[in-house]
Amino acid sequence: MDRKARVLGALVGPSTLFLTLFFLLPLVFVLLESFRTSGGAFSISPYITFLRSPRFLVVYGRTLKFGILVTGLSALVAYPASYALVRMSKGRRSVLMSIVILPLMTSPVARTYAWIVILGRFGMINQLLRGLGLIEQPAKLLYTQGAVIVGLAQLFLPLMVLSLVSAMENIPRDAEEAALSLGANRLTAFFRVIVPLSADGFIMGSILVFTGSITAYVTPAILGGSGVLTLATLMQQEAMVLMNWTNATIIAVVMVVTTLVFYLILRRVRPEMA
Amino acid sequence: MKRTKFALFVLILLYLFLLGPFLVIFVASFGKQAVMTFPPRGFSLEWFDKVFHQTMFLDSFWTSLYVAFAATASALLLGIPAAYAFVRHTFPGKNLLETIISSPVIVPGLVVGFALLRFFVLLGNLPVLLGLYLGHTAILIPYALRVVTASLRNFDPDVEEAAISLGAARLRSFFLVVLPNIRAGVAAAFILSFITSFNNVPVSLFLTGPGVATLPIQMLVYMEYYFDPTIAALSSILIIVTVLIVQSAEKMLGLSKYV
Amino acid sequence: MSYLKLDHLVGGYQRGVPVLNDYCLEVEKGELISLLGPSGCGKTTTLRMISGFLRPTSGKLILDGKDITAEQPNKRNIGLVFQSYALFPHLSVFRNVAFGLQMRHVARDEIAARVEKALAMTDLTGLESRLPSQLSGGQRQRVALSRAIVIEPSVLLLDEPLSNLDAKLRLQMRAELSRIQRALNITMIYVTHDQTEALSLSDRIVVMNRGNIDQIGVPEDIYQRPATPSVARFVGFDNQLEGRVRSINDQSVTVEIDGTPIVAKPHKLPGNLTAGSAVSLLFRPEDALLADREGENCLDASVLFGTFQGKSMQYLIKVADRDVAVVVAGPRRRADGDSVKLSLPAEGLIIEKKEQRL
Repeated sequence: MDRKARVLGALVGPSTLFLTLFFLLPLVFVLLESFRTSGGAFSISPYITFLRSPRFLVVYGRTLKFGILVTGLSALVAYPASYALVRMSKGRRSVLMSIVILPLMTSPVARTYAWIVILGRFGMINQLLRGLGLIEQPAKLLYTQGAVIVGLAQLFLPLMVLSLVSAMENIPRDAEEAALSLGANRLTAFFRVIVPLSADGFIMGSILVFTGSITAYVTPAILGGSGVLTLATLMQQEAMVLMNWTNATIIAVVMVVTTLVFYLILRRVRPEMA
Repeated sequence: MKRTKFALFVLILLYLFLLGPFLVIFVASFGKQAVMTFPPRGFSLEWFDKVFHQTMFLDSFWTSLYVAFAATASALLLGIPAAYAFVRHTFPGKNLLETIISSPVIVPGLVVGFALLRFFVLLGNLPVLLGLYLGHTAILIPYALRVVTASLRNFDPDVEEAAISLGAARLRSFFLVVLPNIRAGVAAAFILSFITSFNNVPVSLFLTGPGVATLPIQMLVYMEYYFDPTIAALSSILIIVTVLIVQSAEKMLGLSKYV
Repeated sequence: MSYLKLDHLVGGYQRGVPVLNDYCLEVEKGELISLLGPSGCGKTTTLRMISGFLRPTSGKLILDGKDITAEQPNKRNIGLVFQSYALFPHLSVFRNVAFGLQMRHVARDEIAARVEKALAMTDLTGLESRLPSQLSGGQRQRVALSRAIVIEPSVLLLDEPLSNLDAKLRLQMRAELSRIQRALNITMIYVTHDQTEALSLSDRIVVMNRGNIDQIGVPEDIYQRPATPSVARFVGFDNQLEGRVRSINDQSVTVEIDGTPIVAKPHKLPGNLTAGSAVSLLFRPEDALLADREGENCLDASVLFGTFQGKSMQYLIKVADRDVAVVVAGPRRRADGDSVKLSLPAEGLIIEKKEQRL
């Protein structure tokens, strides 16, 4: 029916057009440009050269490592925390939940800056350790891999908690009680009943945390500096400092492809979630 | 129960870990020293004073505000009709269109900003501010879409048909009947989008130019050269304002449902 | 000239097949007509075509002499009462009911007067400023009704409006609906899957099945003389026995069941019935009798199970290798396992020709 088509066009058209022109088009352009060598010809040699360079490989490997560590840490902390949250009364839980989303809403610059205060040479931890007489000179806590991991964890833990809580909320209370009545102790019930039933939330949360960690910029920039580069900070360096647009684009492509791969895996494993 | 005690313990640790840093910033922003020390010595409000009097902070604040408003309004204007179409109608190519409109979620913000910079600003000679606006709008559209879709799904389509059967044309029925009932969802989408845009770093990172910088970017630049607690003071202000906004949104709309 | 005419409507596609195919119906002014049938029979599709939310691919819709087939749903002046009531959650009772009048640009004071009148009719006076969330289910239903009648629609369409109410309220509302319809002389089309509702409310019933009309008639006709086995099953012919035709004459058909000849005198014979045809005999649990001695139209049976129903007993009987339900007034008189004779009523039997199984 023509009328329906016109109405739908008016409803969906503007946003589709906007995104195609101002989002997809630039992306495609930049992608195509990355296949140009300095001579102007099209080839994939820039890709091969850069992707094989140790500079890239070290950073890529490190970034993936961070992603896995942060995801693992988040899961480890979020699981028991979410479990406790879900066991609470509705009123208390919603108050606590609104506090959990708070870090997600605050400026990442502010959040990450706090770590400078805590980990800096004259920061909280160092002052504490010196005060206790445990060390003479301030320890280098900033600009280390550990600092970046901790910063990323603080950023993404709420995401994992949110995913797990929403998944656990859907597990009927009775399921756990049934397990207990059949003889399981609390720990067994947790691992045999709660964990499998909240798997969807865990998967969703992990994907969010992992993809977020590997593409994060602010935290590695502030806490890692140029000593601990990740994909994001490397990209910024290539683009703004070294003026090497091609390499920057290649890193961008790697980021998108890596993220896409994980989304596709998600689609395979849990099609309804993608 | 032992298990729940342990879980509770971890929960408390979690909250300390998440909120502790905020407290640290607050305390640090009142210190007297020019180098970031903790615990701070002395009490001074000079850093707050600096925040309000430095042009670079004031300018970038307004830039962030304008861009956030413009981008959020645009994202809602573009996203709400699309959400309506997706929830109420089926049509060929629907899945493809939904993917396109949600695609900015998958692309890292850095890449978006970078692509816009190269294509529009450098090649097309577009002003940087416009590039900022376009980039922010693009990444906000999926947010608006998702939140409004959730709201619309909860709204009984029969109510719209009732309005139409009583004589209201389709468009009028949307404004008279649908919009008033998804008000909460739209407001939540607005607040979420606004905050996301205001705090955004990745997209804004590359789209910086002479006289054009968003507040977060300005803060990053400052941090590269100075180590005084000014950023702590600014961070404190930002955190307090955010808390106030989010808490009142939570009270009025139940914001946490939409995140 | 009928008031509302559905003329050879085709439409309501599901998986490429139209739900309604060459659908014809004529409704008189002031009539209360029910569309009765199981889910999926097309009754809601028919309603949506009349209200304009579904376009037929061919056929015409004529209301009061005017062809409204191409008319937009908001221009048809047809009242709709939804199963979910579909009240405007953000508007008060008053503004809900006033909505249609506002769309018609009726003057302020006239709106107030007409709304009050409609609310009085449905016994809702005093609740004008309440919001739907502050009303009970029954009250919401009545607001939905007021909202639809205040605009003085040409036709009022109701889609299972009482199914969300509890049994007692349903009975009350049924009486209310009937009263209001008669008082206002509104032409009403009522969709339901509940035969008791259709039988008690309607001037005429349209029994539908898979997009087709099986029978149109007054309630007594539908109940006593169902035209097809599917209509019969709908009005309570729950029991079925298998047999073969032994002989046919102009007044009756003799069917052999389990070796015993049963004489049936149905009001309608299925087409091309011959001796030897395989048939099913349908009858109501209330129409059969349990006897102790041999007699006319009797089959050997045994009692499986008896259920106490208050004023009557329902016995589950095994007869001719089938399970059949018989309702007998009075207290329990037969024990489980008793041998008994099942007596079938000659005039209460419907003959269904069995399809040739390949």
